[in-house]
Amino acid sequence: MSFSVRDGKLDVVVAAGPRVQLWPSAGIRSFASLCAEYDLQVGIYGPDTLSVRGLVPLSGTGAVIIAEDPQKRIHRIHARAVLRVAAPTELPDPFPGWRSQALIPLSTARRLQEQVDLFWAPRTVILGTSGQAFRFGSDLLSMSRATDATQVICVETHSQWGGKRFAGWEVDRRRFEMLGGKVIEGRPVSLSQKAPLLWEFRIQDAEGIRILEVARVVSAGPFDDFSGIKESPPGNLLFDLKQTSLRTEEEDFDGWNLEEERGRWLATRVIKGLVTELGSRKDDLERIARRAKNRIKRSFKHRDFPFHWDYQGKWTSAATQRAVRSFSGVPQTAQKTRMVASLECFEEIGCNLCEKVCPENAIRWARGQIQAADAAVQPVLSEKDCTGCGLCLPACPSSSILMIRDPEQSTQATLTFPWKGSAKWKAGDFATLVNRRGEILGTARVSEVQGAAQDDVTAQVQSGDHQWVKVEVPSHLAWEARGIRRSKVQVQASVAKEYAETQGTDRRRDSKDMVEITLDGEKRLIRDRVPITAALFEFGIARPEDVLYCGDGGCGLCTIFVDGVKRSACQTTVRKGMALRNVERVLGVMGDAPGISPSDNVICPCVGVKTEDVVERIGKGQLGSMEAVQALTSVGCGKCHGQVCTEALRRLLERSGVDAKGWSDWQFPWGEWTLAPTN
Amino acid sequence: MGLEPKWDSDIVLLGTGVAPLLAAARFLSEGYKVLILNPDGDFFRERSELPLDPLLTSTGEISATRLSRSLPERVTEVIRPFFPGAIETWLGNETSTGASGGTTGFKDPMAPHVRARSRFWIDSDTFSLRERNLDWPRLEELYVEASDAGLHPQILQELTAIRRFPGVNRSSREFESSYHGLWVPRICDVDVVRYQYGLLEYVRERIGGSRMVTSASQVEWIPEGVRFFDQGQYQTARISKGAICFWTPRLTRWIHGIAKKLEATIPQPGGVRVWEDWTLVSRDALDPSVVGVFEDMTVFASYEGAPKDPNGVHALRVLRPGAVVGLEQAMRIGPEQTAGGLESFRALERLCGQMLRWSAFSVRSFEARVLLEWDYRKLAQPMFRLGGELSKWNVMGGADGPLFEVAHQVRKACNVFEETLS
Repeated sequence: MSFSVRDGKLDVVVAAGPRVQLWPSAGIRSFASLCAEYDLQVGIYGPDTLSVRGLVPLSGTGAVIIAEDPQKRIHRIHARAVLRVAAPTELPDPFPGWRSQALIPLSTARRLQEQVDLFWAPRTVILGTSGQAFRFGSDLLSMSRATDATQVICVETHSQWGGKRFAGWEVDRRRFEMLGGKVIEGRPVSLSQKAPLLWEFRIQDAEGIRILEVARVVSAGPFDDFSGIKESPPGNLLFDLKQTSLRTEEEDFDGWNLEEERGRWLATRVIKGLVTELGSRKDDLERIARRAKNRIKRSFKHRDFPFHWDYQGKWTSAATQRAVRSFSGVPQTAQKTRMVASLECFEEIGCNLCEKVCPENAIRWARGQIQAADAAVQPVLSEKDCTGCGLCLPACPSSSILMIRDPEQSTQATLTFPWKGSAKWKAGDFATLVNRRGEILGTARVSEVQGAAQDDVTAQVQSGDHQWVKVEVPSHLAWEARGIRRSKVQVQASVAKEYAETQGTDRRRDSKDMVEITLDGEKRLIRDRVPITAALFEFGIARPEDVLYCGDGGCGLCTIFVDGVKRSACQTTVRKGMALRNVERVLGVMGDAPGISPSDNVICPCVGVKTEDVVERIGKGQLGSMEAVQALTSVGCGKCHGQVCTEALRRLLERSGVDAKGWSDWQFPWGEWTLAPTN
Repeated sequence: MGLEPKWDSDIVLLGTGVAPLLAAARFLSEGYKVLILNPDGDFFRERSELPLDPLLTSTGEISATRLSRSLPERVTEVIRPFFPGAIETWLGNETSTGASGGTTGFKDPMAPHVRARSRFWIDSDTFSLRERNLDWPRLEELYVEASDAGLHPQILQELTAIRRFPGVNRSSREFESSYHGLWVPRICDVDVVRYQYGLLEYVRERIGGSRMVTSASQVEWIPEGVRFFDQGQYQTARISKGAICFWTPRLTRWIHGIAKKLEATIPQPGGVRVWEDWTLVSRDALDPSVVGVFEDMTVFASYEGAPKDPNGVHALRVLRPGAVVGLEQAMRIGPEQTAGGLESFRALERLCGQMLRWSAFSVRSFEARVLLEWDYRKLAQPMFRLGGELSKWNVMGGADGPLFEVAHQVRKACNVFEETLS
């Protein structure tokens, strides 16, 4: 019995860091292909090949990568340059109660949403107002059952800067608000349990403390404005790239584009550092670097040229109305005679899915009119080519396209909205019309409901999930009403009907999917054939260590005894009769460390370090680096390896005047690494 | 460019770790005006100071004299004069299992500590301490020497021996080998980080933040003083008494560059050794009062202050020496490259499998710490001069290693320095 270690050497290694989601992602592909073009040997190590355990930085440049293959052999690769790609955990600054099971990162929420039937009612709060936050909020609002009547609130925690937003933020926010979501500014104060699956969340806003009863708090962030690329320490060719392509390309187009360009730009840096004789290819490389840099800059250009909606009461101002009506994606005359698409996507974004699905080539992306000539690439509608087929409506991930017919001589106009919600419409229903901010403008009758126009497109958009809902509206609302919602009366009626049908029983616990298990000696019914972590969350019995829910067993935090054997809860599925026993706290597993109470403002739950202790140490010692703070306080040295606290610590240090912006944590290993000798 | 009087100093200290702080504390107490230059961004990046003496060097031998240097009283005697505040002590006899009650004597939990922990060399017929140039007959000799020196050693045999080793799976019944070990009580370790922090706080308060320059780049020794780049411009400090540069691994390349430029012959360390600092997760609670030695590895429970966790300590720290790399080669390849290789994993496997009886082990952390291998017998004086026009400049070797050894070396260097002044 012994370990097998294989040594290797490469120019560049691309390594999957903790919590990486899609692999290989867009940035890796652009980075690796460009490096390979310049004859650099590139190794890409991720979940599907070698699991990278960490790296040991060398005193000059480069590092030694230590990885493990599926046969448990260890590989030691000397790399002259390293690119680590990781998805940040996106947890907020600590406040009392933040490490409870009620607060989960967005990635965990997404996984749970796909696997189990979670309670999101009466209210779900999302911390952060990124595009991802709004998209998740919109999904919750549109996918929730009618009985839930869930209220979703996004809390903007850092109102003093708007730099966290990618392009496309405006349309995502618009969709979220039209579906009934609310956005408030505030700072979390505390989170405490009131009842099973019900928590009291206190937020400090401009008017004082706001108390919300919530089922869950989803942490989406971002909570700072740090760049997506870091080289730490400068000049050693060890790079960190923030993964922004977190979902499929269709669902996260801007994140994909941004990561791709960042990957390309980083490749130019590495090539310049490693290839000594570029010769005639130097100019090409400079050109690629320039172009990538410009595109990255363009992704944030909306910060300088945001599209402002100016309202007078519920109505858009004349100036905004003029800007909207003259926009290149909005029809000028065709809507007077027939149904035609109106592409109201005013910010510059990388997405061009509508262009791709249009069978008539009536949509193209070109220089727009609202912003300066050097800026926006925006949709341009060719009115004469648009047949009003409506295929572009479901293709738009942000629902910013609708069909409009607004005859000049009529008092009625017709609007067709895309509908992705699980509660379907039928002709004759009454819909509540809302403006772009989600404010109610009136009601309208649904005149017609259609499924997909063509089978293949229907398949693309998950057949049956989308509807084209045609409503008749008064002409004066034709350019104001931009969404439909079910009225509260309808929702209440639906609740009553469903309650009568189920005779008041809880649908979930009656489900045939439930099985009996034993948890810490008590018999419980939980969902069968789902990961234990998901099942524990569904019934509100998850532990603090389950909140990261990495999904691949990489973090090793969620260990639990299953029939006496220690296993990862996220990797083990529930089956009938299993006996689960919570693992005793072993050297800090994100539970309450000794001497720490739930009301303490703990920054590092594994080691049990309070925020005020860190602040005091920084202040007294005038510490100048993350290393010093970590060495003195042991923040980030616990079992989660800093996944919970490092970003919060970095923000704390930045606020305390310590330059930690470009710092990367290369501590080895990146997650708990269990080794067993093989034969 | 004119001279900046605000930088003018009696003594300039250049270094990256704890050594310049120690020297500053000493010179400040004697009324000198001190300027500290650190090419690093912080004093905590050096990481070449060890909390305890692993009792292994390529040239040194373990003797009762060397063991005596690690006694808590002796160590406190060395480090105490430099430190302005309280140093807490833990003698380890409050409890042997790390249960509650071990905090006796700790009044300030944020103060640095000196802790007495027994050192325990274990040997058997399936593994040995040969990597340390030790065998059982030599340990028996050491037992006699230690007894004569009043260190109260013990010889432990079989189960009594193996059960005292930190991290051993006590439920395992498969101890088929024959074990024997040498037990020497009260060999101490020191909290490096808190000691350094306290010193840093004190020195900064005394000399002011502006005279403690971190991230000082392009440092250049000139006959009348030192020139360096700070806050966007070149600064020059005139030196009236002299300057000391503390040779630590992070400054090796730089010192070699200067020596080469001056064509000076300088004493060389025997090479560079990478110490692999592993932290493993123990299933059983660890005995915090023992530091075990298995083969060439030093194994002990990792915790701060006195153990107070009611569940016991579970982080098992393993200090493993890597191979010694020649200085030239180390500067060329980066010595950390040798860390974490096949030998390391096999050694860990032997420790966890043969000794501790674990079926698997979890790595919590790993760090490659680079230390210079000084042969103190050849380094007759703690300091040497580069000569030529830079007569005010001294270089001190041995500014890395066990903290109390660094402090001892700095004290010697300061004495020599002051003798030359007088």
